[in-house]
Amino acid sequence: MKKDILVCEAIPEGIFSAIYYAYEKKLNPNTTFVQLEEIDNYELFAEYIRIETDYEKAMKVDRTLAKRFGQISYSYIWYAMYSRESERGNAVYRTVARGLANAYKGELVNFLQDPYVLAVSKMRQNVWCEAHSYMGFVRFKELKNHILYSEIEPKNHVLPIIAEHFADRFPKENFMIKDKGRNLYIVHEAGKDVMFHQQEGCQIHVTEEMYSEEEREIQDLFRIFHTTIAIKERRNLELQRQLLPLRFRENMIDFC
Amino acid sequence: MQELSLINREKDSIQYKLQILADAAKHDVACTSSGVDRRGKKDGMGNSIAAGICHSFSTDGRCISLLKILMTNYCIYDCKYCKNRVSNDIPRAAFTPEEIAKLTMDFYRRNYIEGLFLSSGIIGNPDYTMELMYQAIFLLRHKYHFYGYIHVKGIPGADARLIERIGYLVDRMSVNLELPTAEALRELAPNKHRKTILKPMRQIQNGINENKNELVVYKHAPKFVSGGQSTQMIIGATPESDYQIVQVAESLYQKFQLKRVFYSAFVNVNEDKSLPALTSGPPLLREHRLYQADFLLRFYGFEAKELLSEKHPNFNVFLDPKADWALQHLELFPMEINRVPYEMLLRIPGIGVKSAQRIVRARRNGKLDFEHLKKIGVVLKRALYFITCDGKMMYPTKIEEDYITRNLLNIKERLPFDADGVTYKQMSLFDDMNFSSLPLLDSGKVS
Repeated sequence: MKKDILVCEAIPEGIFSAIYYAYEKKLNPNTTFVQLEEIDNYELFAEYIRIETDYEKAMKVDRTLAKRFGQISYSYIWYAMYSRESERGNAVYRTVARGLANAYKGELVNFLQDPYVLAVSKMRQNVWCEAHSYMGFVRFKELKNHILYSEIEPKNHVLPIIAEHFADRFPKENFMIKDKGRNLYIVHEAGKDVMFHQQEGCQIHVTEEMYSEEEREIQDLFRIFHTTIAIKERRNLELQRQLLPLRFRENMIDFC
Repeated sequence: MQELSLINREKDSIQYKLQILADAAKHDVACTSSGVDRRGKKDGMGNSIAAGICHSFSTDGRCISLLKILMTNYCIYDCKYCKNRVSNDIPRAAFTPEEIAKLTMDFYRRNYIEGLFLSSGIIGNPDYTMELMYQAIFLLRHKYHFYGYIHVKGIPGADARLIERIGYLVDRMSVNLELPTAEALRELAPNKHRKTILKPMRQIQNGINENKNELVVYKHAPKFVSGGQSTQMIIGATPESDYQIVQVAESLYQKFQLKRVFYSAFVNVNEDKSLPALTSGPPLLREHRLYQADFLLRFYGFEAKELLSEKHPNFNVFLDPKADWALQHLELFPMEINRVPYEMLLRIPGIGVKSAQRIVRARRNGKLDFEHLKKIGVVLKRALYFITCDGKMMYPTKIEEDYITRNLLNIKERLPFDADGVTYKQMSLFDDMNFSSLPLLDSGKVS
């Protein structure tokens, strides 16, 4: 049987463009695959089709999904697209195909017997957990100009999710969060919406001298609190490591 | 901790106060930030997420969510289990309301914390103490426009009007039950009385209920303790059985509509002669079993009398309460996954609330088999003795108490404690202990 592999850009709009193409050409969802372009693993007896990202087509797909799917399923699909899993493109495509074909009654993402729906559900779970961790583990440092600055290194693309959270929490603050791995920034200006930036060339370097005078003092206060609040009779570093894995700690100020 | 040597030792420095007053508050366990969903407001700072957020974890593996401090550790009472009792000669300090508000804002703005947890020793008298706490919270809400989470301890004996005023500013208010029974309280906390503890608890409950009616009529009526109230009790300082404790918790949930009851494994800080000596550390396994049972009461539809009885008053050391219950009720098993109602799914070992919900939703669209269950998140190695899928068990197994118990014990239970990676330290201790006597307290006074 002929196999079509749609190769798209590894961003949500890329995946949606591929889905648009699959519907436009009426491809059979059982023999069509969506593959992210970052993977260079080619197989025989398949036709590779390069999909150009088209923001308008992607928007159309997005609107269709918002209209046709329940709110939960729609948000699951978005979360899955922020996942770091290389299979996310295909899982989202197959799940969308099931949903648009009305294969299942009730909320689409409840149908966990379907391997692609299950995959989307797991990706969503993973992304949500990491985003939720970062809502707690992000540490802002105050710069001399009162801007709050933070750096994170998430596995999944959680920046859009936590950006919304912090914009709601700190409407009157100017803050920035940098995803070091993806070299992406969000910038929030007091009283305004969050802006996204991706600038390959422009590097932001924040050094100790740029911190405000009070910053060091308040970090010290928190470290005092952090150390004091532990009950030494219950000391349990293993549990601490499970709940706050070391990978987060590099960007936190909690530990001396 | 070389950095901490920077601590300012001057008595009125904020560093000194924070160290004293965080240390004095560390045994308080009721410090989650959950239960309230509130969007931020344009004119201030802060919001609240119903799921709660942990911002860090201390070296004992407990979550740091709120800035947990006492306003002061000066105290006129002499409770035997408490480090801050008046007869102890310890360094004392007191925050001013402004200091509390400023510190909360400084921490919150850098995303160190989810909000404030404020308790206090009794300075002067209960009314004066509560009034100062009110001032701190008032500053936070109205001067700093802080819309994050605030949990305040109600001081037993404080004027009802003060409790009411504070209730409108905070998300959660709790009054500590301290000890499970009135007798224990009389013994260890001579200045506290069960009645004065239950009175504000009832007042808060009534306040919450009246407020719900107001909110039906006026949508913008101010909210009263919208995150509900909680309480905590110390486990293992007094000789109550697990059965008594679980019954107390159950009646608090039913009669006082509490959101949470917290259990705090007793840590002997005072070496008082009326307190048990803990040679093997705080009774963490017992605390863990009580939390497990507490979840069974709140989310799994169990009743205290199903889990324990006069004859069987303490939890099994080796098995969690749900597995223990299942083994006593083997006549109900195996259950058919594709048919039994949600309430019964919850009673199967290896199936939690999440997986039970997933099963109910997924089976609407077709039969589930063991492979599906595994993917859904059911712990099959525990559940397999108790379930069938489409009439078949996973593999032939005897439905027999001894056989299943033996197999369940072979699966290591994941316990959230044991120091620094040494797993199952407790188990080795039990090797030369009498298995039937549960209390981990090694004290003759307890029995």
